[in-house]
Amino acid sequence: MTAAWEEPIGYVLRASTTGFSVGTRVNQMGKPAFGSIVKAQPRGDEREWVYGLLYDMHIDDDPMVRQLVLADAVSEETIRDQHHHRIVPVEMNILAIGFRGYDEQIRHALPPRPPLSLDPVFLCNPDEIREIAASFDYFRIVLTTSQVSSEQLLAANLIMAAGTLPENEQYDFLVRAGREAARLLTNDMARLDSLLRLIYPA
Amino acid sequence: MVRKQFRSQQKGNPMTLELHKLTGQVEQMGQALANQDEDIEGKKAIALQILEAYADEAYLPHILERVQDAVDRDAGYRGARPFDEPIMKAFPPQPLPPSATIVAVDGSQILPDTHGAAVYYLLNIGTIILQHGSGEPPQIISQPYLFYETEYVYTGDRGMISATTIAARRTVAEMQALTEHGWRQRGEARPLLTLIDGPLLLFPMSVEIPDRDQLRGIYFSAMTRLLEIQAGLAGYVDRPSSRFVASMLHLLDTPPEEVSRRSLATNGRLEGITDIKVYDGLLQPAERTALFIQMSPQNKEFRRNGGETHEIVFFYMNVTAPDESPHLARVEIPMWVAQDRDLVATLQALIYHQCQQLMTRYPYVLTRADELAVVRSEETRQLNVMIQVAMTRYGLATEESAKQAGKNAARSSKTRFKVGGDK
Repeated sequence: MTAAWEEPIGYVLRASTTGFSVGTRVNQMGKPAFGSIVKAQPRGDEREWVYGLLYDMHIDDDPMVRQLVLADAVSEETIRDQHHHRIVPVEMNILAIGFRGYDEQIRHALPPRPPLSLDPVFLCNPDEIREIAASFDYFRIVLTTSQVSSEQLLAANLIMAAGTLPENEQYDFLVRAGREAARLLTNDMARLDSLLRLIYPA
Repeated sequence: MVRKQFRSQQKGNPMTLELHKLTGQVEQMGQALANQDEDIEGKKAIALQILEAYADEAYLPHILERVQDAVDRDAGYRGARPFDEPIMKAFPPQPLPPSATIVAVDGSQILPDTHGAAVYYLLNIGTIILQHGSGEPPQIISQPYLFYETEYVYTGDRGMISATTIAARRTVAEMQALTEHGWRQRGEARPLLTLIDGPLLLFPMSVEIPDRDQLRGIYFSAMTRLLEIQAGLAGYVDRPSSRFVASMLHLLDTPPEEVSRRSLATNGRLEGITDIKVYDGLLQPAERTALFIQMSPQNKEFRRNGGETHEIVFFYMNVTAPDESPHLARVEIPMWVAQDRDLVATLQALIYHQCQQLMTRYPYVLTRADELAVVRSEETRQLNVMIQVAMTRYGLATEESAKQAGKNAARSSKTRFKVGGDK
């Protein structure tokens, strides 16, 4: 059985230096989640790997899906057909937070160029997540974005990142992350309060 | 909002159809259709009176005798002949089987374009194989066939083949695909329903179809292969405008001594009423009418060339859900299916179940087969580009005709100057 990060979760549909959209099939939706760190990996050329946070997933309808929703007796085979074969358009949006350059170092900054259409997109493995979350420099990009509820996104990401650490390091990690967020949100106590409540250990 | 619509019209092509000049004609059309509808209701009442008068099973021999008499008189009778069931009785389906195999096929085509860079036509056949009750996704197949050789695109006298010829070849290709995939499923769950969109009876193969004899032969042998595996072959006709039963009622309404080509040229006081109008309201959801045989030269040919087993039988069924207005479809089956009444009732249950998947009340598998088969205009355009590239590679000229180039230029989108360019 392959690990969640070994198979692509989708392919780049469109992109800019600030982020990219990923198209996927319904049956590949089980792995990625809101706040996941993903990477768009170029196909064998010299471009950078672009890292980002998954901030939105949406599923569009079409006339046939609307018909099925209204019908009373839709069979399991019909639903599986829709999920497996029909191009049910599932789209995920990614906020770019960094890239891995030629020197193999991860930089928490917008990438010099966007990924290309059809580049495969993978979930990051625990080592990569720890490597990215070792520095909180990407917080500023997340907290200044207007595309999404940034404290919700950052909190979801931090809880996932903490989960990759040994249990006795998780609390310290979240405390350090909270301090960095407090430094960046000194003028916005409401958002800081919301973020801290979201990452406070249950 | 108005301004937005105006802008969007300006962005696209200008409208050439002057709709305001049609207002009066559309009004007249609405009025005429409403009058026709009132007229049809009166005819329906007459049709029901005749149907009721012959509803009892005891009248079946009499009806068969009247039909045979019309045939003997060579009166050009093209109506229905009851198979062996009372003509007004409704038949419920069997309970839905826990498992079954459904193979459905549909096709589409790109017609030849004499003004294109190359003359060709394309058939695209979509197939879906669904294991009913398995909970598994179905198997889907889309198979295109490109025809460009002289013998396929031109007739003997170098004329371009007609759209009728391509439609006939497509129908035969659909039946072949149904047989090929049905045969592969012969070991899977039974019953095996092999479903095609449209009638099973081939339309008249006119002389304009150069390979009509060959096509007939292929069609009949494909049907025979389905008979060999005892497949539940069916053709599904949505919104049928057929008048076979109405013609039969007209025959019964005509005194025997007056039956002639002239008296049967129309349906007399039932002229204009369709069979689904006659049975509308007589069938509960999922119920079917009696089985009938269509008395047409095509069906006679099916019997002559394919044998008794290939003669086509039909019934109407109400595919609507409970509490909805009736929606009747015609289902055509070959005689080998009609003779197994349990199989008929099971196919009826499966078709009804398929029709409940979508609010359109059209079988889901046929909707998907159509979706797999349909060739969109953008795909046609891309195929034309592929063909042009291939022709260029082999040093051939790839110009469209001046007429086509002119049309393309006139119909293409307009662009508007914007400061800073398009964003």
